[in-house]
Amino acid sequence: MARYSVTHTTRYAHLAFASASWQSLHLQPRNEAVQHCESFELQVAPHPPDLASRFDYFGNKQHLFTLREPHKELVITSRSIVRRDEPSLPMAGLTPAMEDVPALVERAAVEDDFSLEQYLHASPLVPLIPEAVALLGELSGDLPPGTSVMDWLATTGERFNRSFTFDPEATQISTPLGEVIARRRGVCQDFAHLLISCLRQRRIPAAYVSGYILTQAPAGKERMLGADASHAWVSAFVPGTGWVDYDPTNRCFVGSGHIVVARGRDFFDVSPVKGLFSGGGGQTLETGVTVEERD
Amino acid sequence: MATPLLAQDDPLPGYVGLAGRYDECRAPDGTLRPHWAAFLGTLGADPSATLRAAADTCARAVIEQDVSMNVYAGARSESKPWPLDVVPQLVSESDWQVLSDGLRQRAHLYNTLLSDLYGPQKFLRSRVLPAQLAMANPHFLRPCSGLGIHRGVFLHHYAVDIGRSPDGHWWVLQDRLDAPSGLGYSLQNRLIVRSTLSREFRATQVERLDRFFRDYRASLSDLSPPTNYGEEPRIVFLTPGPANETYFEHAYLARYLGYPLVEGADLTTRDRQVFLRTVGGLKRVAGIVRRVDSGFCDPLELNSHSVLGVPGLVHAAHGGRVVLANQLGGAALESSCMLAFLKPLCRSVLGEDLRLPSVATWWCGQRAARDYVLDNLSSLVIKPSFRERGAVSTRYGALLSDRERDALAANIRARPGAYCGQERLMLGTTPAWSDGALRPVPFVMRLFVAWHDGDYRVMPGGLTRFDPTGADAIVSLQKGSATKDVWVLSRGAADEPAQAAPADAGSGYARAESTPSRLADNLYWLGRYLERTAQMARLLDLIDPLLRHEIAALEPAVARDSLRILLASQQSWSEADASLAEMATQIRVEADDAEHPGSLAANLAQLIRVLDQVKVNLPPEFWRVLRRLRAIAAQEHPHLESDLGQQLATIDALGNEVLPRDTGWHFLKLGRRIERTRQIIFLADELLLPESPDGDEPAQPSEFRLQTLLHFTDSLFTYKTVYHGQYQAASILAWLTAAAENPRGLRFQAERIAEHVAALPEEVAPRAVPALRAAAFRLVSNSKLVDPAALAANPRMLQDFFSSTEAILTEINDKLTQIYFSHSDRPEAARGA
Repeated sequence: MARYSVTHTTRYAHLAFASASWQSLHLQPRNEAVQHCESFELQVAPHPPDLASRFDYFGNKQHLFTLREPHKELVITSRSIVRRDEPSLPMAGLTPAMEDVPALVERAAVEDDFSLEQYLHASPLVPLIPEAVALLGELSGDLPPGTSVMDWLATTGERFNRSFTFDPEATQISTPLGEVIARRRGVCQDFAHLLISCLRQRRIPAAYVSGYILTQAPAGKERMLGADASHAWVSAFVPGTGWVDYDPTNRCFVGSGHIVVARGRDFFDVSPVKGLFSGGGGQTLETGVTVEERD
Repeated sequence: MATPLLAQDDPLPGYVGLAGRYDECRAPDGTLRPHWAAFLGTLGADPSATLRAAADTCARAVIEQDVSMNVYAGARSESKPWPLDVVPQLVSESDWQVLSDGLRQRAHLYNTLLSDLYGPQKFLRSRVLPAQLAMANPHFLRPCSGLGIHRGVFLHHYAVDIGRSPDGHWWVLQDRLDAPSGLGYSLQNRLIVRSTLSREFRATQVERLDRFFRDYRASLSDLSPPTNYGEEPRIVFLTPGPANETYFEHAYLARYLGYPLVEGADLTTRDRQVFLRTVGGLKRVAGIVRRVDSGFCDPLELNSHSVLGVPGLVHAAHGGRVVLANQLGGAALESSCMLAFLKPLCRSVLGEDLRLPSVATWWCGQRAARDYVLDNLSSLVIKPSFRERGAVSTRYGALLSDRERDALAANIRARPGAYCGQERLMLGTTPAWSDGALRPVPFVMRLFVAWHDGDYRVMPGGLTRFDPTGADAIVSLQKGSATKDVWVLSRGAADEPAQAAPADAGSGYARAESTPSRLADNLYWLGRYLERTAQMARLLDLIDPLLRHEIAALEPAVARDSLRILLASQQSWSEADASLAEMATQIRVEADDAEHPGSLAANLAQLIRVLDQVKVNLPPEFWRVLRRLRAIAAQEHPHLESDLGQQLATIDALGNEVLPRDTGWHFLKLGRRIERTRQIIFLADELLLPESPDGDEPAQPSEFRLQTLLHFTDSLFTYKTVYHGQYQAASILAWLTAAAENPRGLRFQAERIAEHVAALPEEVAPRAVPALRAAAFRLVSNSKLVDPAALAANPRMLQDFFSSTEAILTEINDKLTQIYFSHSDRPEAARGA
């Protein structure tokens, strides 16, 4: 078991006074089987008069507020303390073979959970593009029949990771997936979206997870990529087991070192800070995330 | 001519239904159906002659009332007249019973389904509806999830398109659940046809429409959350704006219902409530009749690129303190593929059999249905499961080549869930007036349902659409189909007395300070452009007299300065050695160039743009002027159009005589007075204090210069009347500045400005408004206390006077903008984090 304290700061600086702002936040870590959010505190400056929250369709806590006074700077800071256990991964050999997955998924979607269906189709930021299918052929075409889902995921993920370069300069939120494939560069968000497109086209339900990882690696371990900002990874539905999280940026199954903030179909559903301003004449954005392990 | 089947006294010899289709008028045995026979009987001895005359009257009425068409296809397009066939669609009492029962049930069903979809999702869990139809549906708006749990109604109003099959049964072709259009057009059609065929209408016992609208209004008021201090709940009509194809009916319907017509920018949210931005500050909105598609309603949580929405609207909807009619998200169940599941859903949700069937539909996401569709591709209509940008278009299997059909089949196999197949209904026909005779045309009827008092009511009327060429595909109005009024026949109908429009002007929110800020802003600029355009037109007319005046030859500097002023007001100049004739030519060429800033044509274009924005708030007299102004602007030489000045004067006169003296009117007049003040100062400054190249003190103005100034400021006639032709600098300056009697003088403008400012609402900004009023008073005293003799003697004093007046004017303009036009801050999306 691990306990973390997370501080996530978003700072908008405007050239001129913005007269109003509307913001929607997905910043509060989820409570899940292996994760408990012990405390959460949200600080907004200037102070908004109407901070409110509700659970969204995916069970994430969403906060919303409106700012009605002229401001040149808006700072949103969230502080959470999260306790997290190591999720138990299924033994690869006990998971179904890849070729059996579509039928099993279909049955699960009909018999157990109709909402699986939404993770099989295109979503606002994840088109089901043929380039992703081609990429998958390149990465996992040689895997023999009978390969279990978990082995397939591990191998495909590993190869996926090796064929892409983490490059914060290469892409923006609006960069289309086809371009990410063509350039073989991107950030965690691009990798998550791309892998999701691949998985969905193989009829594996795939979700997007937004969260954090440790800022400083434990002694003797390499520092992970994507640590100084919000991180993102993929969750895949494995029939018979349930959702298994995989981080293509760091080529690993997600353990106790990843903190889940929100789950959705893609970034559109769970973007940590999304907002509108009126006036202000353009703005610059700074974000900072610090995750520390506590006793 | 007459077919032998027909009786001797058949009033419609030559009218024969189309083979294989149900005709509304003539039964298969050749006899007329009773309700049609009765209607034809009201047309007199020669129905054709009656209808020919009526068709002409109807077409004229459409043009005279400027129905819709000016804005129907966007503000700039040359508009076609609204296509209305004078011959009504008749619906017999027994047909109406079937239709209204079926539609009421259908509305209940959809209301329950939508509440469930955006609530507990029981019917997805129970698998009556395949999950994919919701989960892969781009119109299922997840941020709206939870809105179905609220008490109250999800589906306030609803429209269906319906057709008749050869066996005489009615079939629903599609449902419109989000922001259906057509209600306003139906009403407009009814008013025109009823007045055209008034005798026939009275003789036929037709159900009236007004009760439906009264109920609709009452129902929204009842559902709206309670307001403070027992105020009437404020309900607004939200439109995407003048560029929308059905904007006309939004304006028409809003006016009929008595709701302010607003755009997204007129509304704002705070603390989970919706407010209207008015010149009197933010006013809480209790209800929104929504004609913006759900997905575009909130750039914060829905389509972030939408400029039509209101940030925070979804969140406000979750708060439950504003009624949205309809609630957000209805488009999710508008998909054609839903029709395949309505029957079982009705059984399972309402426990009843579906009364009104939907056209047979197969959703290819299910294996058996897909196989059926693939096997019958050549006879079915293939549609995308979900309507969205970039979706496949509707294909008629019968019209495809073999190769196209194979390609379509391959697409269906690859993405079965994206397609559905539908039976092609052989639409029934109804008589339409075409080329001098009644002919059968296949039709689709749009009917409207609205919530009232725990149940749904079906409007006893509707909008029939048909292709005037007699073709049968469901055509859109954009692509040239025509419309009809729908007359629902009833024996009891005539008993109900005719009712006036339900809008009650006495309700609380009609108060002046609720003028939306954007409207006030537009009216203010209407005033300014009106004055500017009129001024330019007048100055251009003065060029010739000026050059011809004998003194122009004696004092060419005045003529040159005058032309320079005209150039300057077009933001232009000429070479120092240009001749007067060359300058005059340059002025005229630039005046006609709409691309040239400040030109007459450019000002006229701005004037037309602003008039377009506000026209729905102005009476039809303005519309006629607007049409004429458009025609003038389209000419090669607008400045030569002799009636331009007259049209502008008409707007002015209408403004004084027709418009109510509300806050909006004060803004219109303020714009006019402020602009006129600026023009007077500009002309006087330029003419009396011309820049001297040597930096010398300006000389005492000559008599001719002073006379020209009077001429330019349109004060010559009045001056002559009052001063009997003595052109003295002091008296001329007195007439232009301090004289309260000169309607073209500065003091007169200042006093009017102060009066209008005093009439504006105060509570919106308790400190800024007094400051604005103080500025207006300073403007008055500035002109009142001036010493014309001293000004005449001392050019520097004159200069100071002009610049101080100008400064106060700028202050007033800025304060007006800050205090009253607050809508100008439009939200922009921030980059995500």
